[in-house]
Amino acid sequence: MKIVRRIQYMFLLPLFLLPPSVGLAADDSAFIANGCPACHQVTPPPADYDIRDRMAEKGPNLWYAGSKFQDGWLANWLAAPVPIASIRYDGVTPSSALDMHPVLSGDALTQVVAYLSTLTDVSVTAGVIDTSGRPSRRVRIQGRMFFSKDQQCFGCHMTRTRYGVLVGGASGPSLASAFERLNPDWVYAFLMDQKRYTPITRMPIFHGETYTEYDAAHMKVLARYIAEMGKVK
Amino acid sequence: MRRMTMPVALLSAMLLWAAPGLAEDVTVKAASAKSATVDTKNLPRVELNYQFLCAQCHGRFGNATGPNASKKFEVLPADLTDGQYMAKFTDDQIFRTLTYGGPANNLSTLMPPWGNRLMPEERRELVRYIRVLCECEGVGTHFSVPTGG
Repeated sequence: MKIVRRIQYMFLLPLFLLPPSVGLAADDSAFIANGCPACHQVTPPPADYDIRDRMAEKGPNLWYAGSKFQDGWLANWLAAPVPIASIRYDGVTPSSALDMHPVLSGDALTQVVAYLSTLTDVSVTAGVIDTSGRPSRRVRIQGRMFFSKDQQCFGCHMTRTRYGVLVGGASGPSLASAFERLNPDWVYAFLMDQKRYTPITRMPIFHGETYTEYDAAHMKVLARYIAEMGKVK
Repeated sequence: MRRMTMPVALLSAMLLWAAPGLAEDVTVKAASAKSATVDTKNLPRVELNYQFLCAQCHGRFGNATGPNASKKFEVLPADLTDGQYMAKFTDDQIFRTLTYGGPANNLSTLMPPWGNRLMPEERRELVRYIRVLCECEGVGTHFSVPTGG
């Protein structure tokens, strides 16, 4: 048995020695062929990116899509897209039926999802937010306090109450089913360094000059709390 | 036939005279519908910041009709066009609210802090912009916040 294992390791070893990009060359042909670049950028914003650039964008930048979204969610959503916010990406104009995201299916869907999953960010550390099991009582109470009272995140983000009622603002993306959409490790990385992902955004930064400053421990609780949003208990 | 031709001709003339007006009316309606999106090309920085950050709650014209303004919340966003209400705040208080959020002035936490998002000068511009919206002067009026700080 030992010999068999050694042989297995010998075959596996070269895979670890290869740089991560080898064999994973991102094929963006389906992404381009389906017209996605008309609304979505896939490279980090340039240094001179300003508010005019942001307001001219029609859809979110996807350069970190592979880190942001949960496995499987993207494929399901692209096959049957439903609006994530009830207003347009400019944050002011109500969305209409004309703003519906195009539907993808078949090979196009598979290829676009495969491409987007390669767009990851190295600063997102896997496993920072432990989502195994039920969150502790402290996380549940503190998370609710942070989200609904202290910072009133639901002023912009739609959420679902324990009775299934949708509450919250309309300008931010809905978090009503965040558990299946967002990767908690990315949520934490985003809360800690928002400007890295979106230099210009409508979301306030809660560390630095604020009335109630949040540190890494606060953000971990918040990310864990958001990871439970929309789960049927 | 001749008797009938005259009224028809008159009616046609009237329609022709009115047509450009109708067309213009439609164009105006289309233009106003189009203006539902914010044209950012020629707007000054303060207007862009207002439309991007503040309008989501306070509305595009400051009258508390933004997409987040909902009666389901404990409070509605401040109506920035209400001069009587806004005159209660000094420029410093508005600046502090913009910087640290609502609790800094004993207001709702629904008002978020923009201190890390906007430069001090941008926040000062917004205070002046709000004073234009409310057509009011604050008590105590002038800034005591040092420039650049």
